[in-house]
Amino acid sequence: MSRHRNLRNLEHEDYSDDYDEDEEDYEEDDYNKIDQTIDEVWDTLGDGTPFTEDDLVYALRQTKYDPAAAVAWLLEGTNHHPHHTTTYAPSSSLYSTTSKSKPSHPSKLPPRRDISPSSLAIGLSTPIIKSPYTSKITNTTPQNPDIVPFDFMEPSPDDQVSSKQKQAFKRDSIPAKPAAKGKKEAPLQGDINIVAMSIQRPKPGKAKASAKLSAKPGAKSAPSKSAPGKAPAKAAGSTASSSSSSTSSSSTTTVNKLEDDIDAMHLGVSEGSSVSREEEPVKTAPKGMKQHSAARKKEIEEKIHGAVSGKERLSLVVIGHVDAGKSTTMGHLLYDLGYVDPKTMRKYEHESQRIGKGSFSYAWVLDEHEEERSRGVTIDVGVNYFETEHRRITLLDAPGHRDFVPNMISGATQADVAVLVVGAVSGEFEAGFGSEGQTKEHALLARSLGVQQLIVAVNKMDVTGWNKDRFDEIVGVLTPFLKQVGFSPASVWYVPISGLTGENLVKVTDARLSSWYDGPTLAGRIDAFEPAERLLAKPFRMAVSDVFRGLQMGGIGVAGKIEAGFVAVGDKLLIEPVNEVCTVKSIRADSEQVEFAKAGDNVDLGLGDVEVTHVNPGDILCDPHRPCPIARSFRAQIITFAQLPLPITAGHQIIVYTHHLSEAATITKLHSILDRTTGEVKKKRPRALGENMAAQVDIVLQRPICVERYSNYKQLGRFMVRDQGRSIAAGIIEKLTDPSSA
Amino acid sequence: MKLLKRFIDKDGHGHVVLRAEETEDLWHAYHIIAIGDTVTASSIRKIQKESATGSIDTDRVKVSVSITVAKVDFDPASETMRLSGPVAVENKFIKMGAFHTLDVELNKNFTVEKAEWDPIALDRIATACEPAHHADAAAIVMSEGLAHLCLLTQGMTIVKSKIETAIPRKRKSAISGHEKALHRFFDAVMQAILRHVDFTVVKVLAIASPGFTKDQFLAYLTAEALRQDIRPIIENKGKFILAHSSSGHKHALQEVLRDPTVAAKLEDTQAAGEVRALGEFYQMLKVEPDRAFYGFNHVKLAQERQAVQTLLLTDELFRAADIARRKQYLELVQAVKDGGGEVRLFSSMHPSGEQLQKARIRRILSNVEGRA
Repeated sequence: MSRHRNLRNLEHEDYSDDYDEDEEDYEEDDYNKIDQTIDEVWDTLGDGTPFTEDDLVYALRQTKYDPAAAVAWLLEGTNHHPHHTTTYAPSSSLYSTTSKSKPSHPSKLPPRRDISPSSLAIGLSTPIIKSPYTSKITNTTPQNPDIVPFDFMEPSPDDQVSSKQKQAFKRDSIPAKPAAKGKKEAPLQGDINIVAMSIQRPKPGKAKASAKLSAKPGAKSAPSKSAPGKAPAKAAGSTASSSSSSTSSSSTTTVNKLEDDIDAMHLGVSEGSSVSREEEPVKTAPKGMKQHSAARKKEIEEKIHGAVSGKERLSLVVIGHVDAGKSTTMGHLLYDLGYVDPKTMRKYEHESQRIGKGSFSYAWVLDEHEEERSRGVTIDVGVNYFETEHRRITLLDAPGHRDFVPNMISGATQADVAVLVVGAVSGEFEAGFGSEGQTKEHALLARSLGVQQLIVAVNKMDVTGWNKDRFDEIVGVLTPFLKQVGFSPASVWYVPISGLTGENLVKVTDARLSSWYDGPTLAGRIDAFEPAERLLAKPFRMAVSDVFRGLQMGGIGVAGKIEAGFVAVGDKLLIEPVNEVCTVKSIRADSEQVEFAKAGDNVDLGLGDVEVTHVNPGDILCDPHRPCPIARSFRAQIITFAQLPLPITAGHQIIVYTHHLSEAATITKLHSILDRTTGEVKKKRPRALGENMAAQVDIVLQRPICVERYSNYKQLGRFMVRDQGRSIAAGIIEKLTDPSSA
Repeated sequence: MKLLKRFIDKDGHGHVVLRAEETEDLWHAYHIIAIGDTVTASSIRKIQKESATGSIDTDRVKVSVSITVAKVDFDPASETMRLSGPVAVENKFIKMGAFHTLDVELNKNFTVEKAEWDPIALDRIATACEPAHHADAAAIVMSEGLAHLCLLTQGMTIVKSKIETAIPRKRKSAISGHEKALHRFFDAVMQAILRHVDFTVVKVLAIASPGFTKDQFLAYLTAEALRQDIRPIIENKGKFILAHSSSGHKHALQEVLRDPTVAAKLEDTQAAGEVRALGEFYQMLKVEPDRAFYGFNHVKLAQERQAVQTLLLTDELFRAADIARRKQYLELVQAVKDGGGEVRLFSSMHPSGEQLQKARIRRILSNVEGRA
C-alpha cells in the first residue's frame, strides 16, 4: 500500500511539473506589464529598501500593475505577505524557489525572475538546488542542515556522461563505488517530493546514459511529451543500483577540464537555473518518427565500439593575424605530409608567380577561390584532412582579416584544438598583437568557443635567422596574455617554424634551429594533442555549416561537425527550425564514404526527401525524437572584452554569432553584474556594462534560431557578441525565455 | 506638406488644414495625429438603401467624414496611412458613432482638430512645411548572402528590400557553385536597386559591406550595366560610393552614416546628425558615466537640478496613447528648454532612433553638465 502511495506521489509530482509550465507561460504574458511599472516602484522606494524585485513583482500582481498602489501595498504591512515573517538574512536569498510543490501559497507565488526572492525559501520545504554564485556563502552560514551546497568537486552530469562514454568504449573494468548523486541525497531528505526533485538534477543526457547501461537501448527515453524532468526520475528510480555503481566513478581529468573551462570563461554554469528550467517544453516531432529503430541503434553502437580502436579524430583550427602565414604554413604541411601531389604544387607555383605572388603558392592549397588567390587573403574557412601517427585531423584554416572574423568564428566553433600562428618578423608580431591586430581577438574567441589546447607556431623564424632571443621574447609576451585569456599554461606549446621554407613543420634540417630547439616539430606536436571529450550518449545534434549541391552526395549535401550522438546511413533526421524530416543517404568523412559517423566527426551528409531551400547554414540537424529547442530570446551570462568601443546599455543592438549563425539582436535588459571569479552578484540592475565585466543579461533576437542551453550542449549554448566589427563579449545561454514549440 | 489653414485658440484648442505632398509628409502626419483627435477628410462610404419593394441597393458615395481617431496605421513601405474610429459629426449618410476608416492620401486636404495643440506637434507642422531640402539617399548594406536596401529620407529609413540567399562555402569539388550563387545574389541586389531607387530623387547610393563584397558587387554592377545597357546605372555611376560596414544587418547602417565620405554627402539628413549625437552620448557614458543618464526617472531628477545640457528622445514617446504620460514628457522637454538645454528629437524610423527606443527604460537620454 505504502509503496503504491509513493508511486502515486511520484506521479503527482510529475504532473505538477507540467502544471508549472502553464504558470510559466502566464508569467511571460505579464512580463511586459511588470517591466513597465517596476521601475517606478523601485524609484519610489529608493535605495536601501528591504524589498526584493520579486516582492515588487508580487505586489504589482496584487495591485493589478498600479505602481502607486503596489508601493502602498508593500509599505502597508507585511502580514499579508507570507515571506516577510522571516528575516532578511542575506544568505536567505540563496535558495531559489525551484521546488515544485509550494504548499503555502501555490498559485499566487511571485514568479521567479532573475533574482531569487529573499526570505521566501526559508518557509518552504528545503530547497536543495542553488546557484553556484552563492554556494560560497552557504558554506559559511549554514542555516539549515538539510541544505547541501553544490559541490564543484563533484563531476557535473556532462562529465559523468563523457567519462562513462570513455569507460564504455574502452570497456575497462571500473571499480564500483557507491553513492550516485541522486541516491546520496535521498536518505537525507526522507521525503518523496524531495527525492523526486533531487534526482532531477541529472540532465536528460545522464538519464539516457544510465538507462543505456542498464537496460535495453530502445527503452532509453520517456515519451517526448512528458517534461524531461520525468525521464531522469524514472530512469534513476528504476535503475538506481546499476547506475549508481557506474556514475560515481568520477574521472578527475574531465572534472578538471570542465573547471578549467568555467574558470576560463569566468562564468559559472548555474546548476540551479538549469534544473529549474527543466520544464522547457519538449516539442514533439512528427508522430512516431525515430532516428532509427532500436535494433538498428544497437547495431550502430556495436560498430562504433568496434571502430574505436582507430585513430582519434580532432578538429584543428588555425588562427592568427592577417598575413601571419596561416594558409602558407598549413599548405606546406599538407604538401610535406603528401596530401598535395607534386604536379598540382608545381602548377600553383607557376600560376602564383605569373600574377606576381610567388610566395603565396602554398597558401593556394587552401585558398581556392579566385578572389582569395588574386588578393592573397583567405576569406572563408578552408577545410582539409590529414593524418598523423595517432590522430586524424580535420584542418580548418581560418581567415585572419578583421572583416572575416565571423567566418573565423564559424570555423573555430567546430574546433577542438587550435594552432595560433604569429609572425616573428620584428614589427609584424607587434602589429598583430596590438589592439588593432587579430592575434588577441582570435585567441580570445577560440578560448571562448571552447578550445583548450593551443599550439603557438612562431612563424617566419627564417627571416630572423632563427634567433632564439626573438623566439623567447615572443613567448614571454604571449604567455601571460594567453594565461589571462584562460588557457592553462600546461596546454600551450610554442613551436618555432618557417611556413615558407617548411622548416620544423615535419622535420628539422637547419642547424641554426636544432642548435637550441629540441622540442617536437609542428606535426609532432599536433600528433600529441589530447583527445577531446565527446557527447556520444546524447541525442543527435549537428550544426549545418554549409549546404551545397553535390551529385555524388545524392542531391543535397550538408557539411558540419557532429556535436552529439551518432548517425548512420538510412537514419531519419529532423531539420530545425524548419521542422522537416529528411533521410541520410550517404555520409562522407575525410573525403571517403562511410556508413556511420559519431560525435566529433566533421562530415558531409547527403540528404534525401528534402528541398534544398529547406536547409540552410545555421540549421540544426537533430534526433526527431528529441528535437532542438527554438528560441527568440534567452537569458545569458556574458563577459565583456577589453577595449569595448562603447559601454553596453539596455537597448544595445548587437550581432549574435552562435555555431554557424549570425543574427541581429538587442540586449533588452541588464540584470546584474557578477563577480568574475566567484559569480556573486555585485550590482543589480546596472545602467551600463564596461570592460571585462561578467553580467547576466536578456537578449532578444530578430528572429528565432536553434540554440541549446549551455548546460545541455556546451558547444551549441555558446555565443559571441559583436558590434561594429569588433568582438565585444562572449556568453553562454542560461535559459531560453520563450522556447517555442514549432 | 502644405498648411492651408490654421485656427488655434490661445488655450491651444483648434484645428489645422493640411495637405500631404510626399511620403515624408505622411510620416509627419502620423506624428501630428494622435489618438483622440478629430480628423476630417473626404472619403468613400458604402451606403445601403432599401427600396419600397424590399430590394437592396448599394451605393458608393463620396462624403466628407469626421472621425474621432481610435487607431492610426502607418506603413512606410507601402506609403499609406489609415485612420479609423467612430464618426464624430453626423451627416445624411452616416450616423453618429458609426465606425469609419479614412485613408490619408497624398495631395488631398485633411483637417486635424485637437483639444490641445502641444508645442511638439506645432514644431512638427513647421518642419514639415519647410520647403524641403531633401537629401534623399539610398544605401545597401551587404555581406555575402545578405543585403538590405534602404532609402534614407529626412525623417525615415525605410528598408525597401531585404535579399537573402544561401551561398555555398568554398569547398574542393564545388567552386563553381559558389560563384554561381554569388552572381545570383548580386543579380537580385541589382534588380532591387532598379526597382526601388529612383535616381532622379536619390542623390547618393552608398554600398557598404565587410571585406571585398562591395568591390565585387560594384564590379559586377558596372559590368552588367554595360552588357545589358541599363541606362539608369550607367548614367548615375557617379552616385555610387563605397563604404565599410561590419555586417549586412540593418543596424550596420549606423556605421555607414558615420563614414566621413558618406556623412559629407548626407550632411542635412536627420539620420547622420542623430548618429553623431547618439555617439556622443555613448562616449560620455564611457568616459564620464556620472554625466550621462538614461531612463525617465534619472533624467527627471537631473532636470530638477537644472543639470540637463542635451536631451535626446524619440518621437515615439509623443505618440503614447496615455495623455498623462505624454504630458510628463512635454513638461520635461519644456523644462529643459527653459533651462537653456538642447532637445534633440530622434526619428524612431532611423536605426539610431530604434536603438534609443530599445533602451527600454523610458527611452530618454541626456547629457548632464557636472553640476548635480
